[in-house]
Amino acid sequence: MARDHLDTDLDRELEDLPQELRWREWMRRIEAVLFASASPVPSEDLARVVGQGVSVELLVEDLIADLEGRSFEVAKVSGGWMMRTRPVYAPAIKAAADVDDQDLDLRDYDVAVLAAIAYHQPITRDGLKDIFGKEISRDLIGRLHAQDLIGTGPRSPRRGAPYTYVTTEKFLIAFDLETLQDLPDREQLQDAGLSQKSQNSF
Amino acid sequence: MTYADDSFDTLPRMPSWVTSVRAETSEDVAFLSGAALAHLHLVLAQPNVPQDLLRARLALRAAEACVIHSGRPERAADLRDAVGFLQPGDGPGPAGEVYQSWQRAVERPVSVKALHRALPHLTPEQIAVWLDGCDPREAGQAAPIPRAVSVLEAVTKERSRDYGTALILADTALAQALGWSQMLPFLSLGLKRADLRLDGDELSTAAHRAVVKAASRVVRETAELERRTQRLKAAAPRLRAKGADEAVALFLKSDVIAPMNLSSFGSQRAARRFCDRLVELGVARELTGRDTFRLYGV
Repeated sequence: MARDHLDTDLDRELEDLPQELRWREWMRRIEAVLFASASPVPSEDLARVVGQGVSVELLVEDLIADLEGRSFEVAKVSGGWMMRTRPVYAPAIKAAADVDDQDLDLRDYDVAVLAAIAYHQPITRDGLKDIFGKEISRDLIGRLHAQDLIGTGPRSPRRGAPYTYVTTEKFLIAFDLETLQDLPDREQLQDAGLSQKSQNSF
Repeated sequence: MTYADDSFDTLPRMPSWVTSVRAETSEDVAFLSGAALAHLHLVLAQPNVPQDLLRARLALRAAEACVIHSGRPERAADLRDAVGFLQPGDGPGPAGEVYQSWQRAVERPVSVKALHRALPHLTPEQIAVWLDGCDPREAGQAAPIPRAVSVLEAVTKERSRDYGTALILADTALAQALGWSQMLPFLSLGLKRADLRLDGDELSTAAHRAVVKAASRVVRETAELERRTQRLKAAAPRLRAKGADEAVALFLKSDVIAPMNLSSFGSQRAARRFCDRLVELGVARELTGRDTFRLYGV
């Protein structure tokens, strides 16, 4: 595969460069990989373009410092590194660029259902119905699926063995969460009257 | 239900000073962890310990711990459900996958091939590098805890959120260093989420603490499973249904059984009736509390 090819052709050690330039070149390589990739790149993949045993963390730290003051940044998202524009430039980007197809374009209700899935996963369509007090349309579920924000979980152990829904890695990325634990605390939401305790999905 | 005064209580007890002494310095903690491991070694060597069942049960506990570390809401019962009713073509979901990895990691003697089956997202080379070549001559050379800790550190560095992979490999390294042919989920039972962010000496001390904590838990679990399997064995001659022997054998080594997987009876109905009979006799439990889609175990 391309990966093996890379391993053999790429000069990882850069031994003919003086130490400082070598470090710089490794930083640039990481920058290039992150720039070219649409999804977060795990550290182990970045380790393939730099010298054996060199700390990717340190290189990325230097790169982050380097990008200080630029409109984009390197962020740690769901187990990997990713390059993205800083949130303050969102209005500018929206005003000028054709980014429609990247926009999640979620309606309020979609977000509410997505949040319910995030907190109560794995949950079936029936379980969502119990929370919202009405049927959740297959269209809505289909939209979230199409955006790759939810995926199919295990079948629920009940009559008809319906499929459950779970959130995906992309969900974590889209909402800038490192793990599901970073979701706002359930108890806090309850105290604020924003959520009522509902029974478990099973 | 308690079995405190059960006559089957034959396992050696953990000396109370191992778990009751509050160790302050890292030397003290390391000393206690050594004592705990030595005792565990003795317990696991007892003839009546149901080794497969114990590993299966601990795999569930370890998987639950990993799922909690990664912030997912599923707990042990959800994991059993996710994997217990799997049909061809269906996936167990993200939490179920973690559980499956643990199940596969404990099922077979430690080898790169077996681990690759458990952790299909890693290449065999990667696994071999992390486990120091998996060379039988290497195994048992380094001191157990430092070896497991170095594996844990190496894997968490590269796969920061993948606690399942890191802990499976660390526990495997520990088993190798202890000279066990099969992995027993262990460090994973004692380490807290915050511990996984430590490194160097702090991680070592946390690992020693985890060993003390896990050892007493494993000993307790072993004693309980031993008693329960002895009861089932004692009741087995009274089970005369056709296919009962095969089914009892399965119960003696599996954490959880769905009647639909008991093929020896020839019919689902007979399988369900057999499971209910075990519950009646008090030698198995229904684990879900549901009327349908039930799961059983000793």
